[in-house]
Amino acid sequence: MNKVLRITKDEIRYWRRSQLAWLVLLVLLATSVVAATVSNFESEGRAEQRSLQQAEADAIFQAQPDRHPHRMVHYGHYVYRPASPLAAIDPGIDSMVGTSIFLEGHRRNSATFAAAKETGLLARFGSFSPAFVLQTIMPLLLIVCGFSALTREKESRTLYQLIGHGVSGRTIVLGKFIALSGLGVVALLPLLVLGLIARDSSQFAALPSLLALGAGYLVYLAVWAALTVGVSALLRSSALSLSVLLAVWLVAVVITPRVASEVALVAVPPPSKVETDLAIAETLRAGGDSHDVEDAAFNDLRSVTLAEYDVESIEELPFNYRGLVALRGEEADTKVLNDLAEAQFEQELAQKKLLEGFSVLSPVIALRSFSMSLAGTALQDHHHFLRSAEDYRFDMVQTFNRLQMSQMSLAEDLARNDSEAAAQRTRVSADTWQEMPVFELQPLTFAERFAAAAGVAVTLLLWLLASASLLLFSTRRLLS
Amino acid sequence: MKLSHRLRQEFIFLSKSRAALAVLLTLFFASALSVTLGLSYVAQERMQIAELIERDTQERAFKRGQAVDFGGAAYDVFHAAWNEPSTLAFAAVGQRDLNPTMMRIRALAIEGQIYETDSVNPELALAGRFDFSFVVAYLLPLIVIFLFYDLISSERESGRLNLLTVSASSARLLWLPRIALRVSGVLLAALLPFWLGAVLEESALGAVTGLSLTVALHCLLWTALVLFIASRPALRSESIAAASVGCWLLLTLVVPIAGKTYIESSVSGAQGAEVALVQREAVNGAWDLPKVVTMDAFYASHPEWADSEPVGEEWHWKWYYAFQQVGDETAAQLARDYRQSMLARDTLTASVALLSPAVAVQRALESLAETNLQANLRFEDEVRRYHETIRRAYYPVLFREVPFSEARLAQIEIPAFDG
Repeated sequence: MNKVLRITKDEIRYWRRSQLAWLVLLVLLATSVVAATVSNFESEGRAEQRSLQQAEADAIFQAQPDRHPHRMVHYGHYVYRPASPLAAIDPGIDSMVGTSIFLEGHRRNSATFAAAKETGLLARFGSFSPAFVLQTIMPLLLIVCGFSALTREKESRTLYQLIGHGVSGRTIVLGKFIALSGLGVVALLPLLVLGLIARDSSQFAALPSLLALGAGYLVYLAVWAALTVGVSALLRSSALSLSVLLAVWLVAVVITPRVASEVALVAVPPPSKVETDLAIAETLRAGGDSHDVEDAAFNDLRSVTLAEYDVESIEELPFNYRGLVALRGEEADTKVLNDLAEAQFEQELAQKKLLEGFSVLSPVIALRSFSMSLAGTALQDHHHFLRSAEDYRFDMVQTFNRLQMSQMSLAEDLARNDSEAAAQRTRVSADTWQEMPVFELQPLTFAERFAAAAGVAVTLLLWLLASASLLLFSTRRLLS
Repeated sequence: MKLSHRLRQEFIFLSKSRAALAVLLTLFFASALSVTLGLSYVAQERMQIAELIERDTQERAFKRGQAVDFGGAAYDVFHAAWNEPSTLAFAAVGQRDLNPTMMRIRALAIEGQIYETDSVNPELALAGRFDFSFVVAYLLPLIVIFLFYDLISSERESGRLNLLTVSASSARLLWLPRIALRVSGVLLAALLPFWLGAVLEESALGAVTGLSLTVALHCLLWTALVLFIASRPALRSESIAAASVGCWLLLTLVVPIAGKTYIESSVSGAQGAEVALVQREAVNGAWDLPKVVTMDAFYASHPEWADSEPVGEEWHWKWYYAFQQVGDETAAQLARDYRQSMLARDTLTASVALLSPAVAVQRALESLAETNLQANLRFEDEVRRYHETIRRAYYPVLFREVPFSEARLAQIEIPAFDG
């Protein structure tokens, strides 16, 4: 082991002597600090802005005057997607998805106003974050530092001297690998700093997430270190080693994720929103119009209800029958809308699975997915937000419908447009709106996020195994 | 030595360099793949649009058949609007994926409808697209780097440089044919699949030429940059490669991201969510106002209906559509600000493009392919105009209080959307 560490020390000494290493360290330091600062600033800004917007929307909602409950169903409410505590480390899909949803009766609106849409072209180039530095830049820096680790020794024939002195090939390769991995460990520091200053909640559990993230990135960087040293051990010239490694980086980091994304789109083509809307319209048509108690779709409801209360007409019921129709109508509509939304989530997850399948060709695909899942900025977190917003919408609308059922008689409800006094009788007190719960998103738990990342974590470990095998294989071919 | 002779020499030289041929072939296949994917993407969009038009026509006929009053018809009947992909959209998908290409619009307030989006799988959007503009902006420079980084230094390192400079009658005749041949190789490899795609799409010759010239310019820019680095006598091949790749990294990844960060922090501007919120307040607030207030506001901007019968306390469809319109008018300034803030970001993006060829070339391609922000805002304008046609079509029957009949409804003709 001492011999191994001596090789490691020699390698680090070489970096210090050559100017290239200083340049690399400078780039690493600069990009890490800038990325961490900018990303933290941006995600804090986003989090603050959305919580302000949410507070404003809540205030406006609570300030509504006495109203007919069904007016409130159409008045609706806005909810904003809170930013994940670890978004500063990996903003993930944050800029690609809408930030607010308008919640109203009878409809399930989409999340609108995605940041990427507002920024345009430049948003497609990515964003400065520790995740970007570690995923994209860091492998390149490892390559620049390590491509000549063994080719250099071969070219100057010092390798043969070392072996002549009884140092085994395995020791040399391992020593160089440790030196390069050490550089990777240094690069992880900003992650730790940002993680420790993150706003945490017990539900989210930032610390275990951070540890898992650190482990994931460490494995990823170790894979690149092993690939770099392995290739350098296998090839004869530094120039060739650099070309091969750069080509590998280009294919793995720049090309494959995009090709994978296109393939996923072609394999599982998404329906357009309009298509979905038309499908919804067709299905809902069968469900009837819940504003109209005479709609034939509610005939069954009427006869069942009349029988249950043993009365002849809806006027004799002890509650406002229009409210009941609204309640049941919303229930049926929501079921249809939810089924379609869930089918769409399924489809998006299928696309994601396909994309992740390409991680056998590129470790960065596995790591990206792993990182987003643990940082709480992945597809499933967005689905979770959409589901939570929908649950909140449904509860809100049904609260209004129950108020319509209980707070007025059918006759009063039907006469509401006759005069101001009649309208007043159907209005519910403004206090009611103030007492309604505000939207609070409980993030996915650590266990849930980790479970979503388990598949790609295995792929990442397979990559570690494969690159370690390459390293072992290369030690045997070192002298040939 | 004649130029044609030198070119033939260099052609033989290039055709024997397996590495050079391999990279050119890689570029060719990457370009072909991107064009194929782009073509299938626009084909899918066109199919969806055709399907939309057909189903929308059926749905509209059905809804019209069910109508019992004009106001209800205007409420229930949607009209399809779509943003047909241009014949060059296959080369640069641009901002089309995050923006809706199809909408269904009705006579209600437009601000409540226009921001709805298609659901996009965000993880796929995050990975980015593999379209022709990506191949040109990202890959082409790397191919150029590979072909040129050791153009001079390899000759020097193998000791042939002196011999070559002595035997060639002029430096120009020595290097230019070699450079010209390689540049042509890169351009052909990149552009051939694109031209084939353009033929299939029947793209306009002018735009195809413009796009090809843009690609050529981008290629020449990178050739000049790499040759500038490669001609430093102090540098060895490896250092030239490292420096060139460093430039690529800086210009293609770092500068655009830094620019994005700067733009997002400097142009906060109007928030889209704000527009939606204000519009909703205005529309819903009308229920709590005396109806005459809304009607007066509406007649101020639509004086042609001001002599309509006054509305009383009771519900009336004309009041309903008046407050929809007044809601739009209330939010109009904010909506313009929101748009303006997007345009301001775009103007700043143009400055970033001065520092990054990757941004510049993508902007140029998206502009030629009409898939940029401006094209999207143009579509939005068309939708707004179409919305105006729709609502105004119902105003005569609503404000003149024409009694409902199916025959009269059938006379309200709303032309199909033409973008």
